[in-house]
Amino acid sequence: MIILRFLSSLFFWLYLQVGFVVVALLSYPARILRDKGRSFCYLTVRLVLRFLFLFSFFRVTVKGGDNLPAGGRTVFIANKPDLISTFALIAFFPRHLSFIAEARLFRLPIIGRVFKAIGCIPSVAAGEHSFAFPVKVLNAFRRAGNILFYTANLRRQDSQFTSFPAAELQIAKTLESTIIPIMVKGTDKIMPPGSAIFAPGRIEIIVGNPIAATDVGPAAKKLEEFYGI
Amino acid sequence: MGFNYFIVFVIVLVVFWIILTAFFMLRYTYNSRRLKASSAGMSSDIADLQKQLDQLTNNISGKH
Repeated sequence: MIILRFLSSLFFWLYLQVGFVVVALLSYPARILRDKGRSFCYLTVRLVLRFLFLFSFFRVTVKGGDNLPAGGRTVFIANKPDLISTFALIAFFPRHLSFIAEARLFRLPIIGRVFKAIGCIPSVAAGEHSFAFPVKVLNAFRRAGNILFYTANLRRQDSQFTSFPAAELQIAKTLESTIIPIMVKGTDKIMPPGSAIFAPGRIEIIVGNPIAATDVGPAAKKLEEFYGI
Repeated sequence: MGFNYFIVFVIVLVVFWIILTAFFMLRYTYNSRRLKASSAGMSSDIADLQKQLDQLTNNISGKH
């Protein structure tokens, strides 16, 4: 069993390297098409990752897909900013998501190119001011109609958590958009932190009910209820 | 004849790539496990130290 796990993980990483190089190469001609090129790259990444999930030991299910609105602006808030949850969201979430990723990832040679190609936005550190960030957020809204935040504070919900981070809610309120919380379950068992060898398991993507962002206080309470904080 | 050499070269390159990936995969997993083990040991050491410190404090306060 351990040999099988080792071989499947090896296949995962080898396939991922080839996939990233292919998408990075495709991104150069796709830049000519601008927004259409971005969605083409996103669909390519989605296809690559779906094949990867097809040949791996983990299965993904999406629950509550009916909660997604047909149109309009949406701010998605998700827990667990790890590799497998991000891949599961790209591959199986029924919307083109605009992720906000750490700025240092964009400086990596091939991975950074792929991040830019699929329309990710580099995050801004706390206390830092950026003119590019709001422009990029607005562009993402214009392009895909949504944006996805990972709530870093939810990672340490066991100890130091006090209240829901207000910055995301403030952005949602300013943009007059609805908030939809997403919970990704089961990725801890599949890839525990500090391990490159995977275990078989199930991933659940749970889409919560839409929350109006007119008042920050009640919205934060509803989100805390959803995440069980 | 030259074409065969090229195929051999490509096969060697691919095998080298697979071995390199496997090596880094195992090294990452093994290193983090070792780090976890060492940090677990450290925390128990700290707990022991804390106990000793508590005992010492009790002794001192007992004396007064």
